[in-house]
Amino acid sequence: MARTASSRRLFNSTGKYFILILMAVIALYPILQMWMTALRPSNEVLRSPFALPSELDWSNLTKAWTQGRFGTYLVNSVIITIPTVIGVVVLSCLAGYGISRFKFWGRGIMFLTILLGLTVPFQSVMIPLYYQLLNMGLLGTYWSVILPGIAFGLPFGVFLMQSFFEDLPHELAEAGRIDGSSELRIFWDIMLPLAKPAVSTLIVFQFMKTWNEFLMPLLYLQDEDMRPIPLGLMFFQGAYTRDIGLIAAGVAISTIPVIIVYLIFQRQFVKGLTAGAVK
Amino acid sequence: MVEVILKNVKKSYGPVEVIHGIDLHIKDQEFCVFVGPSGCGKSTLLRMIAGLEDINDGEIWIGDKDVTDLEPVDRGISMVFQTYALYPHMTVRENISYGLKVSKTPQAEIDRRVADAASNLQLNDYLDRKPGQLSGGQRQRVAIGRSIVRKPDVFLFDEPLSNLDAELRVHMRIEIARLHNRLDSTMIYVTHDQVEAMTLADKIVVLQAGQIEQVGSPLHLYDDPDNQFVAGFIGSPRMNFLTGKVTGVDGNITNVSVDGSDVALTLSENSPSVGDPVTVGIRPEHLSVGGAGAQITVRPDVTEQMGGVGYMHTYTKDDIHVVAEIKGRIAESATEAEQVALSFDPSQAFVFDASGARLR
Ligand SMILES: Nc1ncnc2c1ncn2[C@@H]1O[C@H](COP(=O)(O)OP(=O)(O)OP(=O)(O)O)[C@@H](O)[C@H]1O
Ligand SMILES: [Mg+2]
Repeated sequence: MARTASSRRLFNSTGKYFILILMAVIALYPILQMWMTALRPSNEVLRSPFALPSELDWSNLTKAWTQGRFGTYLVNSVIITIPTVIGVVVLSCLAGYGISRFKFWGRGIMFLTILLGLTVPFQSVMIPLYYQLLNMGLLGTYWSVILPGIAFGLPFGVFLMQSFFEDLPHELAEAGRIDGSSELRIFWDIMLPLAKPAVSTLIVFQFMKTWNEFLMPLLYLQDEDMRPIPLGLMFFQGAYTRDIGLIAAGVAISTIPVIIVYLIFQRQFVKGLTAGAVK
Repeated sequence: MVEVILKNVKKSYGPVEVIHGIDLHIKDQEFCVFVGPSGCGKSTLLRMIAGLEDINDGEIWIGDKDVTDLEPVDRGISMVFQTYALYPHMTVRENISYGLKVSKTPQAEIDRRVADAASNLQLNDYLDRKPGQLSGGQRQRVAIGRSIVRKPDVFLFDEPLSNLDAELRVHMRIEIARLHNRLDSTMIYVTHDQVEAMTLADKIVVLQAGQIEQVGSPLHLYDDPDNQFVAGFIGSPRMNFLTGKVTGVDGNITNVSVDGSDVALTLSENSPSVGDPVTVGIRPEHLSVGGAGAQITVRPDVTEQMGGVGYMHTYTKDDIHVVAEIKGRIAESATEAEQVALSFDPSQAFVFDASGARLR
């Protein structure tokens, strides 16, 4: 009996690991293939596309960086993405907290109006927005993608933060009030630290969304020197259609920041941070 | 002198009034306990005193200040929540000292007070742990520590022990009694635990549906309840209520027919008229098997033998549940009989009229 039970357990865990490993391979293989292609000497790319590179050849990467101007694109992407992410996260935290904690008049309508933003596709407002940015004198500046980027990030951000704060025990804020903390300090000292998992989720999500944004910069940033990576990649692909190794190198460069951001913040996706607050 | 005075305090949630005009005077250094059934407004009343809920009408005074419109921190109170409400990301030390830090107390003073509280509450070994790494009783002590370091005039507790297991509850109950003796502060304590209320309180406030039923010392409420609700609420197992009818009034003596037998009750203040329905209340410990006095005949059901005392659950012929508390062991002859006569001294019985008011 004991034997069958333990062998069944062994099979169960083997089966589990088999499926997990399979999933990992499916997810990681394209990334591996991309890096192998980028690091392969050019003459091997078509001859043996799936084998390991015979030697590591960094020339594609350096060529993409210099000729493909990926350095410039990268800087542009950073200039656009960081303020957008900061704007979305700061405003979402404040708005989400305010809506969840204070029962002010019109709060329901306000929340619904913000949520309505989730249903508005960018395509439906891109042309009016173009003229508006033009009138405001912002067209062709970084602000023309940062400000709309923040606006489009807010519905989801506010929704996420509101529902997270809603679930935090209200007694914590009340304990803060008894301790003499101001509302701003309650938010900063007590509630925001507890919202770290939600904040990191929002940072990663918003970072990826902004980093990969294509249509907005295509329309509002026509100066080549201001292009972010996805646009650069497209023009680069058009210019070097045949050089698969070079394109792979461009793609590889463009994914590095996303991976870094993910690795930094994924550690914060820790559950049970509120354990021990209330019974 | 820190008294807490409520003057005609009212509270509504939307159109629903949940506290209907409460007047209460809690004396300096008094341990005052609010009891009442779930939903009667105990927590709401406490939170109004704390300043966590606005009040719709009336005034609240703490010491010689009208605090009705003051923030919690300006009222000189502290509060221990039922769920502890410890800050989960802060260590025990940070939890306890947070309020002092907010009020910009000098660091040396903070350290001194935290050390003081920690040694009083046996928390010295846990100061650098987070609440998640503590047991329920330890968390409760941290919550108490957080409230004592601020040296408030009035301590508020909202069912602080209800999340603990029975044994720890007894232990913490004694610690809270000790705390009260040591600090000599005014304390207001919400509970629905009989034993906590009886043992801790100087004064019990019995609430029902947002109104005060009676205020008094534990034994006063036990011995001399004003109405059927208080009589039934204070005391465990609860008082037995038998239905009766007035059959004759002769001066101070009112004859009541209870369960077929005539009982002569002494009522000197009120005299009901013949034919009035009344309720006769008898505490379980005033009933005995056999013995002298008035008698009722009941059908034994289950018995619970605790060793020192036993509880005999029985039913009258109208199927009213009657519990008798018997000192020592309950004889088998009594538990296995078809019918048993329970007797009581009529002078120990309580009489209530149809509306539940006490007749004396
Ligand atoms: N935020 C609220 N909105 C509407 N009604 C409320 C609110 N808070 C409490 N009430 C109502 O007020 C009444 C009193 O509630 P309260 O929490 O004070 O009861 P309680 O005596 O503490 O009960 P328990 O023993 O279960 O804790 C209840 O009927 C409750 O439904
Ligand atoms: Mg309550």
